[in-house]
Amino acid sequence: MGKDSVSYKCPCCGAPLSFLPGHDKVSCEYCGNEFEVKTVEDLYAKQESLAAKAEAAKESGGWKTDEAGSEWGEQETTGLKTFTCESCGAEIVADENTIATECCYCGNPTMLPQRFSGMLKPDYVIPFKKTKEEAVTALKAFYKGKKLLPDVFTANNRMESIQGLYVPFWLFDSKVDGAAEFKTQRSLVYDDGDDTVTETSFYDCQRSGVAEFAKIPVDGSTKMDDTYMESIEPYDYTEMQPFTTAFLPGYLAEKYDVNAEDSIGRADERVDSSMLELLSGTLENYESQELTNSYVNKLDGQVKYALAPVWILTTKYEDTNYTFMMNGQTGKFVGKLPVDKGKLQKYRIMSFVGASAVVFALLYGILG
Amino acid sequence: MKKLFKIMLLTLTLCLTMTTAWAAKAQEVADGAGVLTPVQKTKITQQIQDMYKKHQIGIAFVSIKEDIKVKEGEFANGLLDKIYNNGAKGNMVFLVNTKSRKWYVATDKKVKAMISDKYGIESLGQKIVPALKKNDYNAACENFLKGTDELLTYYEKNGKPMAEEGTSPIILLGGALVAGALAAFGYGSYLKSSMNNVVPAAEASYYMVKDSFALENSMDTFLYTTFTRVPKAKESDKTVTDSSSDDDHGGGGGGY
Repeated sequence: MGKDSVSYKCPCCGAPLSFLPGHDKVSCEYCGNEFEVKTVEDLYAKQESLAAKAEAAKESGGWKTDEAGSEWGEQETTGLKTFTCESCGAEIVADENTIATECCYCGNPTMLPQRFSGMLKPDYVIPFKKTKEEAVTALKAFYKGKKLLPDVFTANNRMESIQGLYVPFWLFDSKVDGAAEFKTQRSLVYDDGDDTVTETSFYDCQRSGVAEFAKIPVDGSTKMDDTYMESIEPYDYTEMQPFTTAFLPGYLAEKYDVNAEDSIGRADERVDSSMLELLSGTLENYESQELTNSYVNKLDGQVKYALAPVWILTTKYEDTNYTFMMNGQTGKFVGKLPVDKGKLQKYRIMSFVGASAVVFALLYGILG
Repeated sequence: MKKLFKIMLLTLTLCLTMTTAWAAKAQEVADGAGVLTPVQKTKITQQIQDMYKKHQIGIAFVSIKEDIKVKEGEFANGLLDKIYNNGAKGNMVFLVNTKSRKWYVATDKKVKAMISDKYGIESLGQKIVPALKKNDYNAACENFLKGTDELLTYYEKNGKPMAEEGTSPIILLGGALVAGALAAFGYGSYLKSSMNNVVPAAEASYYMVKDSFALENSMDTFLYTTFTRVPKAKESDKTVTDSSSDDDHGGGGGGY
């Protein structure tokens, strides 16, 4: 039977290969051999092709198993697919967007190459530079100094999971032509006899200009919270590589499920906001400004598709899931922590009493 | 050098212009300008002596009609240092210069602790100046003595100089509680915000190509101007406009 998944294994010892963060080669952690990305790519290109064909064949026919088990509902099976681990033979269940995963039984990194078909091949990949250990260290650092963190949260805290994931991103390049109209004012205050006169002059200010933006990221996965993804920006694009699957072993990887067309709106919002900020920044010597009219036109927009590395850490506290994310390249760490309401009340009361006493003493000294 | 010259000038001025005062050394009333009648002078002298019996504070009224080279305050301080310095619990001089139409109340270090420059001398000025403006020097003297008696009595009773009535402690407490509530709310909000650093990116400035922004058109058109007139805060009705107060002297004065 043909293989429907491909495990990247060391040609020397047969152990799983991994792309280690910060390295430029694919490594075997067992025998220590390192292989050029291109070598691994060539080595497994054929296997990936065969695996894709095998999966297609498997879907077209096979054993009649109608009697075994009951029927899954259509909604239950939508988006779920099973694959056979090439290493241990176990069945791996993955959703429709998974393109790289690991076997839940033997931990073998597994590529699902048939998932590449019918979708755009990423143009770029930003390799992982931060390790799982660094992600855990960053989480501990994130806890530090958080006065409202429940003691139980840190004392009994166990990570439900820590996953390295390549998230699909659309990168928008755009030359922008923008214009804006502002109503501004400036004031002059002077004494005239027994009066203080405030002379306020109003102006209509028109500005237009051009600017160029490069690789504004918008995540292409509905599973990933857009706010989290924007919070871990920016990525250092100088380290971005032309896409190859050789960077994927050892991590999960998703293909996009929000296409570039549907992601334009978010990129446009950010470009518009920046362009108007640039134009308003040219208003000099005015005390206040109010935007009354504007347009921003994208002249020459281009979109690229890339996979970006993210460490996702999840934990549970009082039946609520807490998710933290770390930029797998820069280490920027973001998340929401639970708030101990008792501690919040305590600090509020302390600050209330302290501030009241200090202010009363000051007021009494000055006015009493 | 400048200070030495100033001291010499003050001494010379005192010698030349205060012949009346020298002649009346230790007299409570030295009316060099002749603004009091003999009867008034006797009455004021008696009142000053009564005040001394009551408070053991040496008080003098001095009037001059001279162009003096120093400020009235420095002149009055000199009188305190050179002549009127025998009061058991302190000394003070009420000086009037009818030539310059300036008045000054000088206090020594001890009386300065009993009659504050900020409130005490100003309250005396409020009582003195209206009479001086009418050239009623006798009334000015009587008002000065009456006001001084009130201030000294208050000090003797309360152990601190009379001062402006402060804001009610209840109002202060109310203000402090409001400030405390705002601080508690602000600090709580700050602590809560520190628990979450997930924020959406509102703009794309980081991704702007360096130096790619070019302003192509910039036009500012004047529309109109508005004027707002607000009457200036009136000068306060304070009577004390000059002070030669230092470590050893208190007091203050002004014109009339």
